[in-house]
Amino acid sequence: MITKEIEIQNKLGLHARAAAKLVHMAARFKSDIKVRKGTEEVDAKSILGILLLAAGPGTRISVIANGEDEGEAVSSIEQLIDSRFDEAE
Amino acid sequence: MTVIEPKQRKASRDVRAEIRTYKGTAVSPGVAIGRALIVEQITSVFRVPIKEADIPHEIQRFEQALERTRADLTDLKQTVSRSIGEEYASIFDAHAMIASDPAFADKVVQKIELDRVNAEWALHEVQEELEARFETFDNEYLRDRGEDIKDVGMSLLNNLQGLSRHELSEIDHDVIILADDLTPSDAVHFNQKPIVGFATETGGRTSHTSIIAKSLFMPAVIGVPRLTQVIDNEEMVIIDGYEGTVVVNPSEALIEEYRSKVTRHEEYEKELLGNRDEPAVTRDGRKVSLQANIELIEEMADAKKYGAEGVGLYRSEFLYIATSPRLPDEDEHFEIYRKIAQDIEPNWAVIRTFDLGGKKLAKEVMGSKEDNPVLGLRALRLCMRHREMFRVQLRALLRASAHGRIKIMFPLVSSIQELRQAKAFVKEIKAELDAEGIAYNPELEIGIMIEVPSAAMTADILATESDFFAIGTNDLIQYSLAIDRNNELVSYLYEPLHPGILRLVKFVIDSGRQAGIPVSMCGEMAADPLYATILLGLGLDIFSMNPSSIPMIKEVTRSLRYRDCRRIATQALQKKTAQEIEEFVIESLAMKLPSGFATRLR
Repeated sequence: MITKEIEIQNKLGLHARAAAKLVHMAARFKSDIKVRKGTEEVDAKSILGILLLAAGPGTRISVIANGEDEGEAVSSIEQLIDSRFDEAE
Repeated sequence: MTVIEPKQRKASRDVRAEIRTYKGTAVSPGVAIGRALIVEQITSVFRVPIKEADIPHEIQRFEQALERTRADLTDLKQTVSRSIGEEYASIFDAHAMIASDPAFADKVVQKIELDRVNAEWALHEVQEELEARFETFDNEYLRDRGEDIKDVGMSLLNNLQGLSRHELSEIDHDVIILADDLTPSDAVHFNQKPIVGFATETGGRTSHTSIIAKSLFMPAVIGVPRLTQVIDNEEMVIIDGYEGTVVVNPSEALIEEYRSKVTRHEEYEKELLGNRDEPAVTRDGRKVSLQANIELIEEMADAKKYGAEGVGLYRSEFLYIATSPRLPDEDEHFEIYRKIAQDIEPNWAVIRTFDLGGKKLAKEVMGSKEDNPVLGLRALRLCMRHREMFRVQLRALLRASAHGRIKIMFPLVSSIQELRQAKAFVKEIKAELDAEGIAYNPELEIGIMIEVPSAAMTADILATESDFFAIGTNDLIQYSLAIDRNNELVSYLYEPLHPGILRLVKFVIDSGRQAGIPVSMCGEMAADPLYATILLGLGLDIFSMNPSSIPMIKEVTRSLRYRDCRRIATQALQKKTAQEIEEFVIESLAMKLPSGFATRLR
């Protein structure tokens, strides 16, 4: 199991379109992937879960992956978040 | 969106066979002719207990609705992506994912099973629970995502109740959609036969629905009071997206006239656009600059299409209206200013700082109420009082000045002290940026609106410390003549050609010329051939107006001699009443303008 703490940097936070991208990404991996904010933990493959996290800009979240491709899963998601979901800001 | 069955509503149609006209706001040009179709948002869902044996059937209904909704959203995404653009389409991708998310669907299924209720009610409950959770979010933008859940829920409900939009395509005549209000996703559905236009009771000119109508080239009128009550389904309706009118029960002759209106308008526009790349210069060589008044970034396309030589006025308060009730942040300001400057290059864009009246902002942001808001804490005064809000805008403007050709303009200045205080504040912010190592244009020009009589009368004083003037006629006339033009009892006294107004305007232009600073006008006067002639004669440098008026004023400019305009202006200033002035100018112009224009003068 791998856990990685990542900061949300894009201006709008995990809004609907960003959440959709994250879920798309997570769905590509076989591992079980969770996202945690504070004490709340949701399935990274559920857009509703991600939206309900209410992760605005500057929020620190943890991505937790467990499975055969856990390493790749975490680093891909980290890259997506760090690239601000390809948004302008 | 639900289509109400035509039969339910046509009872009173026969007794209303006369032609009726309703007035609203035009948001998307063109003329559409078709039969009325009233659509309504679903407001009531009923709880219906079901038998245990019916549970599988109810779940099956819900799953079918899910499937149809997913298919609809995929279609929608493709349509929008093709017709409007990827960025609008990606939201429907997110909606499709919500509809596919087991975390959503399982909850509804569970509720059907446990509570033994109909699928509609189960869906309604789950949706309410989710929306309530979104409402607790601190981050306003994320909180509004509850709207996405609502939108998906609505589509599901439509499909559950079998009131799908697919039925619309079975109608074999052109249809005009009438609604209380429409969401952007409703509006994009309209990009299909048989819908040719729409009108709503509510909605703003700057709303997404209006913008989408414009990008779909679909004639639309909004803000028609009681629309869905005064028109019946199947009535013949004309939407005039030029004038903002809705005509019901037109005669055959009237329909023909409206049909030809489109052709006439297109021909007229084509003819005028012929001068797009020509300079605005009089026959004897006096060059003026015709620029655009802009409220929305989307209007920049029009500014270019009609050949604007700059943005003479960007009304930045529309930025606030778009983000309302939240104030825009520094990056949101910056992004818009940078974009405008980039779009208008190599010309300049003048950004007017927040010109919000007590009325607009007081309630939401300031929480105060004034007896006389027009003479109260508004525009520059309000900004200087709430400096933290003003700082955000000025920082963004300064930052943007390093990326494009922008100028700052302060509204509602009434004395040189006010200008000095505001400029001192800009200086303070420049020092801040210096300390932070953030770039800006050190030569950034700062000008003022001349719209308060005292500012017009002290234009010679103000010109010593202002980089440019822009005369705002609408307010200048109201303040000078003490007339509220929206008050029917006195609006007849609202006279742009009042000798008092012309004298003020002349003094402002003369003061600008003596100080060597450019003077523009960005009120409605600048876009009227009659007034424009006088303004040309008074020596105005810049005429800023709605982009679509530019070609006509350019044609007027190109057909006149500066020498003649000067004579007309001089003689006009000697007349005693607005009416005398108007008659004199029309008479003088009748011989000088191309034949087509004489008929456009009142």
